[in-house]
Amino acid sequence: MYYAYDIETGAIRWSYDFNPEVGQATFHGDPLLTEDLVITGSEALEPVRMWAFERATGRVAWSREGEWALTRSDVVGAGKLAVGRNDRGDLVALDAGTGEPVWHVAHQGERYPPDVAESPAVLGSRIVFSAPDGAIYEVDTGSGNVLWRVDIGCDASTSVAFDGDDIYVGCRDGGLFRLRAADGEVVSTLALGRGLEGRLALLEDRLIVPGGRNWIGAVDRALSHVLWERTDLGRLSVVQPLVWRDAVLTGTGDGDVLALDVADGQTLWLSSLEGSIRGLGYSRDVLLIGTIEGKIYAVRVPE
Amino acid sequence: MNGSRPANATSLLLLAGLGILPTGAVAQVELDRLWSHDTGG
Repeated sequence: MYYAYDIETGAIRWSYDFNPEVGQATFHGDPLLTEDLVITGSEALEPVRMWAFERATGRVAWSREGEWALTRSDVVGAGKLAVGRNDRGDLVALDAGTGEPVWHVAHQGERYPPDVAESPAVLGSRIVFSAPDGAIYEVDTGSGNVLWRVDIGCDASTSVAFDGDDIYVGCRDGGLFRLRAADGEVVSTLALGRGLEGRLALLEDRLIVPGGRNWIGAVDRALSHVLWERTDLGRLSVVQPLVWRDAVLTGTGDGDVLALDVADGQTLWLSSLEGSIRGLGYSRDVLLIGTIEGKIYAVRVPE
Repeated sequence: MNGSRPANATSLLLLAGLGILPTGAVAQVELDRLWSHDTGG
């Protein structure tokens, strides 16, 4: 099911049941929110299908299936385009308003359904993504032309973080890479000694890095050293930590929501809920917490 | 805190306020719950 809630009251404004179309549907990638639409792809692969809903009503504005349907990873916006990955792991761009295909970039590896961690990142006229061929690609969003492709020689397992000058990506072997956005040259690397997994958060002076089930840390943007790390938080079940109000929010399989100080990693507060904490988000001053078991909490954090 | 009695929540908050919260001791906060919904997983 897909739900749209009133953020203040929790009233369900609309919902959509995917099950008749694709069986049990789960969602890990973030949808693209345009002025009018919510654009999302499910994780189901047989069939691969995606939808664009009207934000106000939940009516299906358009849907696609097959090789031009986006699945699993985030759907990101680039001008009037909705961009994501198809079930082969290729980068695909659609007209966000109509769902019509615009361009696609095939990677040089084997067919491989993307993970949410391999979501593309867009800034201005450039979009960056990691591919199962061990390479990072930068693509011109207008034409779909590959500007450069650089083989980093490892299996990327985090999202790419991209701020226009630098690109960061982490790998399953624990390597963290910084590439120059202009030409893809690898500027620096840092070996963290553990498999990295999830979404990187790029801040002004540091990078927040999720490192599997029992590690989260921060490194400097030059990738010269670890600024802080935590290994004592229990079994972490959040792979997309949320940076919110100078805190890094994460959660455990035992239901603990933790806020860590961005500056030094110290625990600012902890709160216990039922279930395994999975998804974290916010709308205005309301924090949204989702669990693997399917419960969603909307809370405010006391000042 | 090793060897001392477990601190209660009030004293932990006081220690946290003073910036001397001991390692491993964390201020548990009660979140202001607006609503929740069980989607069934």
